[in-house]
Formats: sequence, structure tokens, C-alpha cells
Amino acid sequence: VNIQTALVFSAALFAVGVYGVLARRNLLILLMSVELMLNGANLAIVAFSREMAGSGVGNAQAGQSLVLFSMAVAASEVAVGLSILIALFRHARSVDAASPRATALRG
Amino acid sequence: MQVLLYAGAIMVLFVFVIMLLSLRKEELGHEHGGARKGFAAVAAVLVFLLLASPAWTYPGREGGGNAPQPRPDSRFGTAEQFGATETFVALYDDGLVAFELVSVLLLSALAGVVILARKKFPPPAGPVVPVEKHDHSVVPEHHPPSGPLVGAGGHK
Repeated sequence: VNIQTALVFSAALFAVGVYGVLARRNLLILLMSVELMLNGANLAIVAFSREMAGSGVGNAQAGQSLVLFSMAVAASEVAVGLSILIALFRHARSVDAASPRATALRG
Repeated sequence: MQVLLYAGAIMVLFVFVIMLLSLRKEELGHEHGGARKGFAAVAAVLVFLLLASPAWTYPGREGGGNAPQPRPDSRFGTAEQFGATETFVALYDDGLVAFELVSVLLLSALAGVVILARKKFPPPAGPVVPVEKHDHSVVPEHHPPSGPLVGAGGHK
């Protein structure tokens, strides 16, 4: 696998995430799409790290450690996001992002 | 390793929440119409082209196939190259502060989840709640008169 393949794949992941965020209204799927975009970016980081390590610039651990940290942040973000979703679902009885009781949160 | 973390932490959370909600048909809501979907598809294709376009001009492909390409380490990402020793040396050496901060972050996320996911909203009377005219009250103290109080009042 060369870096071009990895970059194209990461761009594809990001684009699928963009489509999901724009086209869907199910909050669970919106959250998953945001995660998909994040993983596209993570994949690009790892691909560049591999490329740099292969040509002798930088060490191979740096990029992977960075992605590891970014995934830890993503895990806590998903945990908080999902619990917000559960609280909203208890209130609105719907996972629709535009359901009447959910948009009442606009204030 | 990243796959392990992702599968362990995030996918399990998603699957668990999907199982927990056990959505009925009317709780799924309505999706956007065809025009919005088409717009989203066009936008996604544009984003893909924008992001993937540097890949075709990335150095290493220039100068034909005979140009010296940077050789990626074939052991990259394997246990041999990125095994436990080197990983955790890198993590504990350069990223010690960040590593400790991650534990603080996870702890605060845990506390936040516990606060957020507490049962403070009483369940509405019916499966689908009609919207009241002046329903701006999203505070947890708002109890519909017909709803039974389950677990309410635990917050402060």
C-alpha cells in the first residue's frame, strides 16, 4: 500500500462522513459520520507518518502516538455525545435531529 | 492497536446505545428529502476531490516509475516495529504529560456521562408526545402531570 492509496481512501472516508452529516437526520448516524470524518483524518496522519519514517525523516512512533491520543479524545467525545443523545432521547422520544421537542432546545 | 482501541471503546459504545434505545419506527423520525440528499452527495464528491487531489501529485510519483521512491518501512504498524516496548517507551518518554492528561480526560468524560445520563426526565405519558403550544421548558423540573415520576428528583 503506497501513500497515494491511503490518502485517497482517507479522503473517501471523510467524504462519506460529510455525506452522512449533510444527508441524514438520525442523530446516531450523524455522530457516526463525524467519527468517520475523524478517522479519515487519522488515517491521513498515519499515512504521512509512515511515509516520513520510510524516507528517514522523523520516527515512526510519533504519528501513531498522535493518532492514539486523538482516538482517546475521540472515545471520550463519543461517550459524552452518546450520553447527550440518550438524555435528548429521553426528553424528545425521538432520535430525529429536527423533531419538534429536540428543536425546542434551540431556546 | 488503534483498531483494538477503536473496536473496544467506540464501536461497543455505539452498539450498546443502539441496543439501549431499541428504537421504534416513529422514534426514528423522518429523513431529508431527495433534493437535500442530492445536494449532500454533490458536496461530498467535491470534498473528496478536494482532499484526494494532492494524492495524485504527491512527490514520489513524479519523474516516472524509475524515480527513487521513499521506501515505507515494511514493518510499519506491525508488532515487530511498533511493539509494546517501543510504543510505550515513546508514550511514556515524549508523551508522558499527554498520557497523564488522557487519563484525566477519560475520568472527566466518565463523570460527565454519569451526570448527563442520569434519569432526570420523567417518561412522557404516551409513546409519541404531542408538542404543547408554549413548550419552551426543557428544564428537568418540568413534569407532565400524567407522567409517573420514575427516578426523578435525584438531581440536586
